[in-house]
Amino acid sequence: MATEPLDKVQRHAGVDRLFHWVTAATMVVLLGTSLLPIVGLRFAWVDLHWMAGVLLTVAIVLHILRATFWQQLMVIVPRPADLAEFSGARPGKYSLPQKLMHLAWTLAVVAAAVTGVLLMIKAGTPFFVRNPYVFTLGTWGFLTLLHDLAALLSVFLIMVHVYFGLLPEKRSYLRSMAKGWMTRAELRAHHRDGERGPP
Amino acid sequence: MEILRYGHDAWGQVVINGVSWDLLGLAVGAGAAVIVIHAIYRAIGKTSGRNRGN
Repeated sequence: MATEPLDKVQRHAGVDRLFHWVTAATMVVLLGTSLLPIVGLRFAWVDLHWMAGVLLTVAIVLHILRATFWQQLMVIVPRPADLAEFSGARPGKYSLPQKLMHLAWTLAVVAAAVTGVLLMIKAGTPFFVRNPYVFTLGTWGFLTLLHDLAALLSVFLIMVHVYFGLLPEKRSYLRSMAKGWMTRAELRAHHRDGERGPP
Repeated sequence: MEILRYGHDAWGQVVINGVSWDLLGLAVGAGAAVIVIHAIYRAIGKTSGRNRGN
């Protein structure tokens, strides 16, 4: 008996999946290198931290460029019309919770990257000659404050993101972020067909 | 629980050094709370769904 091939729909292109997993890996390294010393595990963390930070910053710049010029940026932006999901309307490519999660990640990662690049001037790296006198102590403190808040928000988001990603009913999303596709039946169960946006 | 970390500049004035790491427990606690609340909500939804099917 011949088995019918799955009707696969591409949800995420390879480059977008690569971005997701590079972001995930660098976030784990960044949080590990910054927070483990705080809870008592002492090691030389600074070099590993800024290297992962540079990789993450390059990745998000490329992602922003791709999303802005090669994809439909608005597909991921929350809109008032998304509230119709509360009355049972099916979303397009991304549901409101997915859009809000992306927005929260955007805030955390962009804040961490911008402040992190500036803090590299204070730390001294091959990219910047160390100069702690560019800003006043108060300004350095404010930049560190924002960097710390981004880290704390990231801890919260990683926990929630991994939890929802591992739920059995969300497994098709996890697979699509690993292999790129979901079946048409999975797509139709949660989304309006034909409004996926670019893969 | 402290909210911020403070230091002093060369003139002895208080400056902010960053967020107090006491808040790390708050971030982990908030994440755990969302997970637990959703897991309970999900379990109740499954139970009531099964009961409706009987």
